[in-house]
Amino acid sequence: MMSGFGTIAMYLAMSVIGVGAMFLMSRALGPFRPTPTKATTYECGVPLLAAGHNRYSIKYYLVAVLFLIFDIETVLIYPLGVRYSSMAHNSWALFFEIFIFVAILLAGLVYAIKRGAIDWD
Amino acid sequence: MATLTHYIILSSILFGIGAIGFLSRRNALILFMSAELMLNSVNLMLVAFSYFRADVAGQVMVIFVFAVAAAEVAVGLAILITLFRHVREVDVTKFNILKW
Amino acid sequence: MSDLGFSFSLSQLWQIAGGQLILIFASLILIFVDLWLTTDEESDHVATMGWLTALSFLVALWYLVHREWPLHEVVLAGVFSAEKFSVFVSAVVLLAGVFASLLSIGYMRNNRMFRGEYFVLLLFAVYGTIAMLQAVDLLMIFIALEVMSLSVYSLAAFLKDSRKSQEGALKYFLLGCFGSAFFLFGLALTYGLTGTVNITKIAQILSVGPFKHPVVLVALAMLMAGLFFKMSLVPFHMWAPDVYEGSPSIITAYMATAVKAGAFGVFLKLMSVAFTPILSLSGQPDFQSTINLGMLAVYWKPVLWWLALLTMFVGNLVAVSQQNVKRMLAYSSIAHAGYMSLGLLAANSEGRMAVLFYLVVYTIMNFGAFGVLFLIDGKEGKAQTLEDYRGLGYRYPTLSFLMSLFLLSMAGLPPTAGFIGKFYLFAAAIKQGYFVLAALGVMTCVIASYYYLRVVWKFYMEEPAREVVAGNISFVTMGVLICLALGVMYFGILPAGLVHIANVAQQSLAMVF
Repeated sequence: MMSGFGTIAMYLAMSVIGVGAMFLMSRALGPFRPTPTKATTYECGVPLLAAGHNRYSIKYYLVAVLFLIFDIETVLIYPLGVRYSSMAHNSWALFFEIFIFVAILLAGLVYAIKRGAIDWD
Repeated sequence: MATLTHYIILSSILFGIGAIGFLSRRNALILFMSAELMLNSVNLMLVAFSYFRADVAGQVMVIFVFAVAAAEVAVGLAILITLFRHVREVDVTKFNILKW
Repeated sequence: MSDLGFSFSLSQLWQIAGGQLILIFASLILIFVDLWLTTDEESDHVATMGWLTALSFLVALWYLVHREWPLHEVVLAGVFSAEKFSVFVSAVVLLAGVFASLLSIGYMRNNRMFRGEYFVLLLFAVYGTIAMLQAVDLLMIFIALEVMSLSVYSLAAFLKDSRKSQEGALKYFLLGCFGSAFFLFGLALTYGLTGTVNITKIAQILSVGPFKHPVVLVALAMLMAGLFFKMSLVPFHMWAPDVYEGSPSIITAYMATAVKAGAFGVFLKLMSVAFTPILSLSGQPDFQSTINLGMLAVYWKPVLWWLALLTMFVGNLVAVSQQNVKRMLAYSSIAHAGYMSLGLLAANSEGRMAVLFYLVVYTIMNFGAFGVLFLIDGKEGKAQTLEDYRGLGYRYPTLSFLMSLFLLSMAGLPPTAGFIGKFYLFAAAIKQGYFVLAALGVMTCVIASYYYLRVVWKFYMEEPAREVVAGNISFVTMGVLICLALGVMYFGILPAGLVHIANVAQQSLAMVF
């Protein structure tokens, strides 16, 4: 037990010292003369076209939320699929239950589509 | 060998980080993430209990908590976006027209 | 819970969870009715949706009250129970739903806010509250609590053009998530300790087992903290005034009554069933070792004592300084939660009866007050300050009279229902020996009457400051308000019937659950 921890401690110490030494060496040996050109994004004189933080259309948000809901639907259905064969004694009841669950979600999806959640115009 | 106590302590620490983050941060999105961290630390604890008690119920609960968390995300982000249209800001200290 | 192969017949499902089924079907149908109606004249569309929603609440209410429920458990698959207690509180919530949907028709017309999904969300919210009250399983309580909360968050944010509404909703949402995370943590600890989340089994296991370690206390504290957020007791009340001020007035009334009724009901159930020594039908402890659970009250009662005191004082004192009437009512509803926690603290049969009685009375008078408030307002936020209320008694005699009646009832003056409700709460606290707290509570009532009566004074004793034009007063709105006023008077003069029903309902909790 202890020897295992000793190895890990040694490894940690080595990595900290090694990385620290590399940082210090690059500071000490490398030249550090910043100019405005070097401070630009591409560091080689290619001018920027626009800001990096693009704003996305709000439509993506709706699609993402719809995706999230159906993602979680999968999480809820998956365990049933795994255990279905071992619950043969009331398999139809289980099928019916999960059918109701999916039907309710489907109703929600139909509502969202009718309300224009995935209209792109 | 990790015992049940380790898991409880770990998830309590995560829950505490979430709670402290919730109380100390000012960005509404980060508050949101902190609340999710709290929920997920509970998930970790439920799975640990489920494993050590050899009882599958804990894992079933985790799935329900996932579903609840996803619904929370959907509603919460919608509210945040409608508010953002008014304020153009996600800093909760700027949401201050309602006071005393 | 470990046995996942539950099976139950459809008739059992209908017998126990029929009210919930009615609401689920109604909401699924109404979503599509809403889609189908959107092309119609907008104002008619809202009225149709409102009436259909009220109708579905009434059907569910009829389902609940038309038959005799058992005094103790009829449990469906270990998840839902139908007994007198949960049926009583569910009926209160459904009643609040009926008032909310009918008053919302007028509200939406005045605010020109023609969105039908409002009513569907209201149905979901009521459904969640009822499921939470009927649940006997901590996980189901959590899920139902979230169904309720998520619908109410969306309703609180319904005024899209109002920054106040969005801001209040976001605060409510963030703190609500925070609170439910605490509840969930308590749930997980309870599950870890007892291996079950069914509240009856929790009580059995905790009664027998040697649980001396503090984890039980931590679990209990977490569960309680989660519920205190919903009950808006004082250190957990930060969201309440903001969201009550920002939300649409009817939703504010709904949150202050039905959501609170749900949280108080669940709190009573948890405290009287899961964390109390089990009593047999003869009233004697059922298991050999009840000392551990009995000891828990030593820890949670002082906490609730201080919370009740703080809630009554902070709610009432801050309400005095408010100039906005809606915000004043928000703080007063915090104070009312403090009065109700007196009944929780007493934890005897009188206390539980008083809480149930007060929930009904409070729902009636709060909906009344907010109903008049939105009428005087016209469009949300146009005339909400005390200055706007000056001299309205002569311009709008009926509205002012109704508002005065509801406010007097909230203040607890004798011929009204509010007086009887407060009387029972304080009597229960005194009977259990909480003399100091009851005396301080009565003192806060005196402070409260100051700010309630100030509004009445503004109505009749001062000259109007500026022209206030109330919104369009429709026949339906007026009908609902008059019914509410009659209710306030009726339960103030003849409370015996309701007291009897509440008393029978609370006996469910003292039984083997």
